[in-house]
Amino acid sequence: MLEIKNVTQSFRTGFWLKKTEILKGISFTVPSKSIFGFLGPNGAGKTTLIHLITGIKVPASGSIILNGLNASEKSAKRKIGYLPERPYFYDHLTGQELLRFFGRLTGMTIPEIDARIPKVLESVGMSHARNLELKKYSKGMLQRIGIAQAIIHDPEFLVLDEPMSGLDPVGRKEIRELILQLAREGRTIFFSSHVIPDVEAICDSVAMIRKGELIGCGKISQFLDRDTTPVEIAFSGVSLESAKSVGDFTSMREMSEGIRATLASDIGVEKTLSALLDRKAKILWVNPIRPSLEDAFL
Amino acid sequence: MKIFYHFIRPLLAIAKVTFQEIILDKVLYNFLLFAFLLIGVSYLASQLTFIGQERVILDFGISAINLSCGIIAVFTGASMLAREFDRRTIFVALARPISRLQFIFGKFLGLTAVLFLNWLFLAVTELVLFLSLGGQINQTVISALFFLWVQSCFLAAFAVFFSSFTTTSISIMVVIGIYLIGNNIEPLRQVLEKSKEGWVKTAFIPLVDLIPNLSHFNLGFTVTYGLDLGQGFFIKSLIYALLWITPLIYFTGRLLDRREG
Repeated sequence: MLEIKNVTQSFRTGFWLKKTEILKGISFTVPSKSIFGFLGPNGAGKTTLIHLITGIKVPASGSIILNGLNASEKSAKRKIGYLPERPYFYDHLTGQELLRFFGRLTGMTIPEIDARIPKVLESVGMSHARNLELKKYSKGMLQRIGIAQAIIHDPEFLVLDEPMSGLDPVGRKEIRELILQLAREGRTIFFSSHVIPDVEAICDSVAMIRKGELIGCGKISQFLDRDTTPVEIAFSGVSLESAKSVGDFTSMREMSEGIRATLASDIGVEKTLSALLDRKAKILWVNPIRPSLEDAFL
Repeated sequence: MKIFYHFIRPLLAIAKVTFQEIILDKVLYNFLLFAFLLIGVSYLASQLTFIGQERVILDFGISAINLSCGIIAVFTGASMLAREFDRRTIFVALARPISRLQFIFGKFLGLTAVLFLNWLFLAVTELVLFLSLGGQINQTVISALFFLWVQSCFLAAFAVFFSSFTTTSISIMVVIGIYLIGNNIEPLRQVLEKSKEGWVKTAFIPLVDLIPNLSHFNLGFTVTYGLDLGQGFFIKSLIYALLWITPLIYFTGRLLDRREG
């Protein structure tokens, strides 16, 4: 379990070394064996907090405790695997050499590293590229080998900073499946992103920061549970003016095939549909609009 | 054993990767080629004289090695950390259980290995030419060549140090300044020592001693005329280099703690 308690961080910038607060009293807990989404727009302070969690930097105040250990301690670092945003590793190395390098940095012995490499490469689907230089890797392959280096020492806690950044839809899906697989192996995954649907698709819990402040934290279901669900109805054969009197639509707009309208709640759907049919309207589709994290946070 | 796995092994891993990275940089080969050309020119120049051909080739060769090792040390040393920050590779390494000092020391070790290899190629070539023209290898010649490598490590330490808190170009300029001043500080020190005013000695000699003095590595006329090195020169110069390099690398590590990227 990771506990972040009242963490602040500030940098001095500019000629007069003016103090800029990047993180303002952040506190939340990441439960063990969960996929935890960390959301925030660009520049919100996500990477700064990740650098504190991974022990690259020490917070100005507050504490970050991983399973009872201070995150900046070497023993805590051995329990963490880290994939940076836009991973750019030493590109003259092959995939296997890169894993050896990071294994050594973690203090693993050569037999330990050599035994672990085939398993890790297989789990990220990169066995075929073990002897290929990283400069010849595609973006998706770099992301995969990045995850491989993060798990070479079999850490229990994985920190992934924007793991899907810059990937095409197929690549995003593959990385999403890989993260789920790593979670199934019993790891806690801390996953930062500025793309809400990515987080929504795989995370159990979520925290969101904006301008260095925590604006929400909890189980995904907590943010998605609603008493009512808005419904979108598309129909044709009725004029916009006439349709306005049919139901209590919150929004309406004309499109080439007809009209798209949204009802605030699913409670009055049947009544609205029958009223439309009475007016000889042709129903094109009826879609409940699932609540999203976007609605909760933005 | 624990120290080996948790301190030495990570350090050597960083040194190895740094070594490979620099070795694969094509710019390095330009400097090496340039030095080989200069040594080649020195051979031609030596043919223009009837006596002391081996001295000509030794003088030219030492200058060529000095220039090549110095340029690689300054340029690579000054850009090494900037490259780590630009590509953010340093953060992935520092997320592992290693200290910034270990990281810097490993990088520096990798760079000194490259400087050694460059120096070895050039020094062997130089010695082969020197011997072919009837020169005789003695302790002074070997020391002169060896201290060219030590001097390049010395300059590299300065370049790495300055690059930890300023830009690559400023670091290069400052280290070139240190090279120029360091090679000319000894005559100034000697003038001060001969001063009849006691306060001049008391006030200025300690100040001059704070400036890196490269005469500890530059054998000049001693090697040209095959003179004996003074007693303890080798050890004293080596200690002088270590007394500068060690704190420079240590403070580079400390300065990195404050750097935000």
